[in-house]
Amino acid sequence: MLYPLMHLTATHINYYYLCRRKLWLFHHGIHMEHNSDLVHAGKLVEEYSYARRSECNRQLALRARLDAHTQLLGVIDYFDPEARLIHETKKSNRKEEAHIAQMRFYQLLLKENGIEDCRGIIEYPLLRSSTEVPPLDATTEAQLRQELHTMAQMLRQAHCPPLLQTRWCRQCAYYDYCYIDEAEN
Amino acid sequence: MKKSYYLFNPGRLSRQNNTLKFVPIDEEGKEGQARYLPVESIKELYVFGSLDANSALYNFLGQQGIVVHFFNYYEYYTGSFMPRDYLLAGKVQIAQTKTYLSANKRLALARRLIEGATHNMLKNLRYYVGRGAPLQNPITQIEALWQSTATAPDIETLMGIEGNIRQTYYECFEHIVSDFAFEKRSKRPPENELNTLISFGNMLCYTLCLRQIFHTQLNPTISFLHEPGMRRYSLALDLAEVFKPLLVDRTIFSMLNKKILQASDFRTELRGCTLRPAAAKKFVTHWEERLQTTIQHRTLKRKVSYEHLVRLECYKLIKHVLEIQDYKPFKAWW
Ligand code: SF4
Repeated sequence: MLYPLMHLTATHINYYYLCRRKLWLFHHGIHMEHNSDLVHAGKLVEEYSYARRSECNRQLALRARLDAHTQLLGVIDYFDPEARLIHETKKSNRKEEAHIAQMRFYQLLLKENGIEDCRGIIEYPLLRSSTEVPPLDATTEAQLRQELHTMAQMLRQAHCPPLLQTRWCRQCAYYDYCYIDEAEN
Repeated sequence: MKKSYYLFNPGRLSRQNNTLKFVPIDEEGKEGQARYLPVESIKELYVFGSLDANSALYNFLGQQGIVVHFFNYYEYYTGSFMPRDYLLAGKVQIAQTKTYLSANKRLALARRLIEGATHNMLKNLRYYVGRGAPLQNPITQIEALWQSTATAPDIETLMGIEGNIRQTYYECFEHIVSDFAFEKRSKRPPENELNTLISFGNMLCYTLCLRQIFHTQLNPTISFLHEPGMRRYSLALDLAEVFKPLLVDRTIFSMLNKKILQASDFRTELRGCTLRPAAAKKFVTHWEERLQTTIQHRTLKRKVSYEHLVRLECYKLIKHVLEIQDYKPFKAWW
């Protein structure tokens, strides 16, 4: 079967770690973020932190092919080419593995565009802490590629993955969407 | 929190940076004191008086996702200015269209919508039976009509039954409120006070449903119970059926029974019966209060406003067309 080209972004990776259902809904254009205060707070943290970085624009938009049917797209908000360092700012470190995977995604994009051995740093200004991500090695790269393939496959399926049913659901922008149901009278 | 603004006076609306400036203009053309509405506080605008505004303003409202609803001199809804759909998703649109195109799927969903509407109407009637209103016969009739939907072969038949249910239901109104007769449902124009209130409330309910649909991925022009094209946004008509008993009719009962609205609030002329401007203002105030009333939701386990119930219904419809979860209509449980 011939598939149209699928685009995967850093947000996809992030959601893949948070909840596959959320990823599926997001990928199919069912967005809820516009009415979530939590996400809004996240945006403010970003904007505020950038305002303090006075340097010229270090944003970088990149694309690369994963395979014949899948394209990777990413916007790195802050990249320092001399130090080969990617900066990311996050509100909380609750799902740090998702943030690390997202950083690896940027490293892969850079590598595919000829810029190898980049380090990443994830900053948590509200927690006054940061996490460093070492450059990609053969193992982490293979693992990431595998995840991307799994993800693409899952998104090509017609059916929406089931509810996650964790306590995180309550804080998820999709909570109402996922949990609305009619109780029997 | 964002609010709906109701502009009853004629005037001029213009943009000043991120604020809207409204200058009322009286019958002699004299300008009154300007009012300023910060754009981030506006949920939507209802325009009852004649409004003078330019395309720059509408472009700006469009960018901000603000819907504008227009009413004529007789408080009759004439149309809405809708910003560009900003959330439409191909997947949902296709699924919604497929559900509409499949005769069986459409019929089943349409029947579900009537199920919700009927339940909510009966809920209102039973409440007043509890307070001594003689409504047992019409309740039995409505139940029988609902039963007969099970074998309705097509949408037209279903719509016919729905019309009968609603007719029987509306005839009960004069036993619920004192002092006003219903006679029969009259629309353009409504011929008496109850009909005027029903029409006015139903228009508000339609615009509410339209706004909620607009904030989801549903296409408001593809409907299931009503034929697309009956109104521009016929999906809003579908949803309104389910919510009118809770939102509109209970507002009417409460305002009439508490004598917040009285005979003197209406004006009966050759062109039918209309609400006096002060009465229309009272009605929208109570309407807004009702929309912000909250209820502990039984499956979400948190408080939600009546207004939000309509948004939740949109989510259910999306899940239904995507075959994530079958649609079960909202049924008032209180
Ligand atoms: S509410 Fe729960 S199941 Fe639904 S998308 Fe969010 S995390 Fe996933």
